[in-house]
Amino acid sequence: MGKVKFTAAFSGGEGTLKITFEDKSSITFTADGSLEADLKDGSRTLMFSGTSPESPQGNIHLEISGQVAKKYIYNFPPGNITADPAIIFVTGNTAVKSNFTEAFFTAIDPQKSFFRKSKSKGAAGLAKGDKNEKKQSTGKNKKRK
Amino acid sequence: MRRVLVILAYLLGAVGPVFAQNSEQLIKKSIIEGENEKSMGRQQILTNYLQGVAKNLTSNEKEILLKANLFALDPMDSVSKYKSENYLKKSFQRNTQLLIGGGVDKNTKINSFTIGLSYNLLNKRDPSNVNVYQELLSKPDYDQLSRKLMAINFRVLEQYKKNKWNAIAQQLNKIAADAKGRNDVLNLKQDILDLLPSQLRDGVGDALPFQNSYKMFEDSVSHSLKNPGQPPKAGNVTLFAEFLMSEYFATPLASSLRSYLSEAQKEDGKPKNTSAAVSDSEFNKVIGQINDELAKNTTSGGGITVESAYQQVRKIYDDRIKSIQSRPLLTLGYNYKYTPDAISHQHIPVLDFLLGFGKNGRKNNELVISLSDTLGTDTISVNKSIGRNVTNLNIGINRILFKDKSLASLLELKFALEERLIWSGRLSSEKRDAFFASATLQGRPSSKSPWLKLVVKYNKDAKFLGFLDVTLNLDNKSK
Repeated sequence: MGKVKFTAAFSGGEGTLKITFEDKSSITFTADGSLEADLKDGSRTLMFSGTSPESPQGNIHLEISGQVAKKYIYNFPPGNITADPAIIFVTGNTAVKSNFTEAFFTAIDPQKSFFRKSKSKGAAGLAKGDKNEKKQSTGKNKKRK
Repeated sequence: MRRVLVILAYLLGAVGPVFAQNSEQLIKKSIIEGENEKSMGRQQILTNYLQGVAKNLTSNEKEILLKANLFALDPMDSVSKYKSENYLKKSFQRNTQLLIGGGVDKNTKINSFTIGLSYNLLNKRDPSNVNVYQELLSKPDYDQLSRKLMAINFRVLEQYKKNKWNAIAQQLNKIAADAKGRNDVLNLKQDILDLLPSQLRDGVGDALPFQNSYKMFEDSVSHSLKNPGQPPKAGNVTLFAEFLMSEYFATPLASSLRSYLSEAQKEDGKPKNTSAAVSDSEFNKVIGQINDELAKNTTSGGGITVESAYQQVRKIYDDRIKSIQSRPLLTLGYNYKYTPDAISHQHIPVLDFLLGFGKNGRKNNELVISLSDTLGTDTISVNKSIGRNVTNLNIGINRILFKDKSLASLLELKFALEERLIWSGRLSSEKRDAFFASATLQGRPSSKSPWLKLVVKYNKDAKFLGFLDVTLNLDNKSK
């Protein structure tokens, strides 16, 4: 598992950015803030949905950092966001991974290996709490009245 | 006409230093989409940013006005200013408009001064104040289609990743086997770089994420060469293959897919593969798979494509925005006008109301009601000062006749009835009440151009009267 930090910054009004993971769990930002999530090592697919503030200066800026291959940056101009895909690579503690002792040249079955990595439950499991939807509530990200 | 425009430019220049600190930056920052979509009726009542108006250009009583939103004049640096937290907090500024202006006589001499302030009492029609997504989720069509698209995109991308990962892992096995055959790892890195899309190879070998991941793989192969009895670690191969697949194939594909889906939502969009790292055939295959999945999951029969599905969700979104922008607007304003030659002071409270209506959620019609009362003294027509009290009530319907592809209004027609009542200070040549019917045609060649407004008024005594106004939205010009 790798600790991945999601940081969102909103400009130009009200907006929502929902990030859905492969296991259908999700986090939702409605204002500036950040959240750290434990994600399974390897290639992770995310889907963005929501709406970016509908004003001339509307934008949502999202940075994904932490135990990932690089800092991933996304910007969402004013408008609708529906099933917008992104793929990140979670490095996690790869040192542990390198200690596998399976035979290398003998009958390696990558597909089987791939399934072994993906099928385990909670690929995008959040540290604690609701797995289906977790409203982002850290820092300043509190819903305005 | 040219002189008037020169005066307008002068007025703008005079106000400029107030916010010169970052006006250029702010204007450049204005993406304008939201402003463009507003009707001119809305912009006349409350400007979103900064607006210059030259009124009655064909008459001897021209008027130059500059309207500025207080938020636009706030000298705060633009990044902090437009952060949502600050933007939403500054609701008062965003709903308050300052007006300054002057009258110009036929000799291009400024003969009166106007200053005013108006405030939006009903702040219901600004979509930037609304969590649109929450409203959309209550629309079953939007929610269901969004869920379906998400599930399909997940499935198709997972399938793509699995296939690509499989292919790369096998290629890595072969590269490692070749290295074992040569009994060295000298060409190992180059062999791996050759697997990557040619557009991404430059500098990849030196990038830290690649180096870290590659080193693990190289160590594993080196270890197996030095210790024939100990097999290399398959986990390193599978993880390295996953890294290469993810960073150099799947991530660019997802990025290109995002651009594609964004374009697909636009009426005039040209969705296409935008990543040089992803071949068109590979990209089209993914789009084809999404289309196949959509066809399988649509009960209404075939015909739905990724483009039409995204246009469908976009239309629901656009209709929602349109609906918000049609909500009522009520502003209360106060203007003061001073005319030195006539020693005239006028105090003009104004109440404006706007409400959109129409069919199919498009709501291209607006009910516009304006009530004003002019209280003042005047010595222009008689030698002694007289107190005047004149009320104007204007009720009209404004219809957007034509929009461009981005839904910006380009041509509008308004029919209105106006009643003028002179409660006191009536001159001998004036009647107590006067009734006018007016037609206003306003248009602009593009969303970046100034508005031209032609007003024709009819009164049974004065017959036809014509006026020409030019309205320049500075933020629009900046686009």
